[in-house]
Amino acid sequence: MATVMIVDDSNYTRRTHRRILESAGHNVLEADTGMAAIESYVLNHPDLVLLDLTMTDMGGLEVLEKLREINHDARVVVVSADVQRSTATLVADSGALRFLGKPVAPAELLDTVRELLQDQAQ
Amino acid sequence: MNLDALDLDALTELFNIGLHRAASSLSELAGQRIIVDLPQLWVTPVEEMHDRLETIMVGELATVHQIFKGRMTGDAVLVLEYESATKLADLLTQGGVALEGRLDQSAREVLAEVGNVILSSCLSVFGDMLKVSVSFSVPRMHVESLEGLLRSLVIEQGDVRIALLAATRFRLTEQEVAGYLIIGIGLTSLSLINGALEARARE
Repeated sequence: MATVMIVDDSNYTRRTHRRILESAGHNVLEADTGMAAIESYVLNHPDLVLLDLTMTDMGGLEVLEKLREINHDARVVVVSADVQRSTATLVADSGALRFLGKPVAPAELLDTVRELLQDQAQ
Repeated sequence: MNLDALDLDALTELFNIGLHRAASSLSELAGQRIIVDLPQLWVTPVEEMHDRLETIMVGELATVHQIFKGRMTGDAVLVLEYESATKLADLLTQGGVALEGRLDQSAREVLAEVGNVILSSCLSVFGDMLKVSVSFSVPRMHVESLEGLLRSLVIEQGDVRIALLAATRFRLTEQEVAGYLIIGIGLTSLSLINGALEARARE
């Protein structure tokens, strides 16, 4: 099992996604701001980051850029309510591995995490 | 149910997802990228809404009402200040309507369609997330005062009348339109939403 960090300003989303991930045996870290995410990433080196785009202190794409400065191979899935096609393009260009639109179904979240962790192991 | 028992964070996230889905639909309509600010949410009895809103909604308002029915019943209203409404109609038609800053018949038809897109997108997300089926009425576009807006909210008879107000800004390329979404709803429907959100978090 892996350590997954959920970065989202919504306590509700963090709580919901934590429950889904823990049900599959993953360890979960939470960050409610971009800055807290960067600090936690440096300290804890999670295997995968689920990253929201709209947060109060900094945008998700800016957080992603910082994470990739720290670790060019940082594995990040963007999970956002902003499902515009232009956003999906921006996310793909930024180096995120996947883009999931909120609300995310439990099976979709777990399948995505499982696939990406398998890729990492290979 | 007491309003203090509401999970405001969960409700805010519900509106956030709904408004972003609406922005995505609007983006397809406008052919340009739209940025949505994090919404601020207030929940109060309708009777107390006027005092809260009179400082931020001044003058004539352009509103689009869409009544929804099902297990969850109420009145969803897109509210734009008059100037924002003309700006939005102008942006979406590349200057084809709202000439001289007035909401003529063509501009009103554009806004009714925009309101329909925004409100239906938003309410559809509510229905999907909460696993309730919702049907919509034909949207009605009005120019009205704040008093008229609050008086005209269609809410189930005999229930406590609650207003959920989400304030956000839609930013289109080089332009900004401040808008509000008000959902007038009975306490029974609000309890259902709160319970469904909690159940979803426990799934």
